[in-house]
Amino acid sequence: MKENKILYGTEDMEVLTAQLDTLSAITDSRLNVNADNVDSGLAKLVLTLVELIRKLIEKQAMRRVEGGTLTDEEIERLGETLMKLENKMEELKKYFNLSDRDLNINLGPLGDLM
Amino acid sequence: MGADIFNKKRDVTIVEILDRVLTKGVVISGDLVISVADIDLVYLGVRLLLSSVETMEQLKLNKGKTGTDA
Amino acid sequence: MHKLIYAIIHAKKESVCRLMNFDIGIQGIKGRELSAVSFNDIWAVVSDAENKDSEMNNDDALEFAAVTEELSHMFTLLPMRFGSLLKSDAEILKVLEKNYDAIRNNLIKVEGKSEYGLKVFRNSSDIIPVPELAEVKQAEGNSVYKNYILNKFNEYRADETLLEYSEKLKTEIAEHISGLNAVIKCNKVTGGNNVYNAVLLLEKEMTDNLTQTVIGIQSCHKELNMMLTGPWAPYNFVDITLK
Repeated sequence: MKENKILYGTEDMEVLTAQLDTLSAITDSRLNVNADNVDSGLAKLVLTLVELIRKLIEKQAMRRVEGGTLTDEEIERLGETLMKLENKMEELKKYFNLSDRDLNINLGPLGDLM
Repeated sequence: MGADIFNKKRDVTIVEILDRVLTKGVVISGDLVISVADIDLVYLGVRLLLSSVETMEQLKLNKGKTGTDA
Repeated sequence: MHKLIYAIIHAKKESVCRLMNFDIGIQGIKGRELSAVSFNDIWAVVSDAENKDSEMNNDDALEFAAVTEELSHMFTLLPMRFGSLLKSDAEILKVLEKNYDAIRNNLIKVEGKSEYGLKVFRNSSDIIPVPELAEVKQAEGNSVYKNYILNKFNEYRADETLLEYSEKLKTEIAEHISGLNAVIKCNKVTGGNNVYNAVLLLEKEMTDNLTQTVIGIQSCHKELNMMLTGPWAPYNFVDITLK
């Protein structure tokens, strides 16, 4: 099983390392959930949902900025709102001891959340 | 160096396997299965909700692009 | 005793026997014995599992995958995701019976085929230039909030540009591969320098052709690094949730 399944690939170490980094994030978050850490599992789930919605709002806002129809005042207000939202999110993540990686939950057929 | 590349390649293979066996493959619907990782069942149930949020977002965007949105 | 399902295989002959020993020289995880639950020509390969197998870890998942791998050399199969236990053989039989058509259709779809993974990474983030807009430049007099928006907007532009680049790459790779009669499924990129992340389903005998094709694409793109993996059991090409 430990055989090498790479049919073709670069010898570039950096690329391989990067591949390991990004992918191990997926697997780390999947296992080792049991009764003892089910609380943090739930926090993870809820925060993931909140983070998803936050990102959607942010993206929508950027489309408005791109459209160029926002006044300076509107941009100010948007900036304040989004920044506070992001800061709040950081606080919550710190509180529950979760990283960005933890929040990128893989949902099977639908693919990664974010 | 050579051994290092060998190890890295083996590790990449392992990660590819785990990615498949933990997140892909045939699943059994939540009400039948007893999962070793209980929380996964919750995630499965949440999938539907999420896809509808995304679809809603997409609809809204399309509407915006055709100029019917303010 | 609970049952852990490894894979659903397509047996060439129908079986009247509903539970049988499945002695083909392979063991399940933790050295457990494999058995099979069959309904007509579809068999679930299973082993016993503890109710509270909460000690399962990545190594068990790898062992589990190894069983599927070995089975895939002998049978057409649908790999199961790791960690699903059913209560009993009787319950598994019910599931097989209820989902018979879906299982069989999926088995026929993957018969004689293997899955391959193709990921492409860019050498550095510079190869995709982000257009700079005069208006998004930061100015001294800007407020914190405005600068925050401008930063976010730059990130957004970079993401969108990367997305466009990935789309073009998808089209190009699809053209190169079109001769191999493959099913291509593009997944989301994994982040970092990953610009393409797809899985392919094609005839087992076409492995070398695929490798050569990928080498061909690589030779036109010095700025990219391709990684082709496989052959895998068709993990990404089973579109069923068993009910």
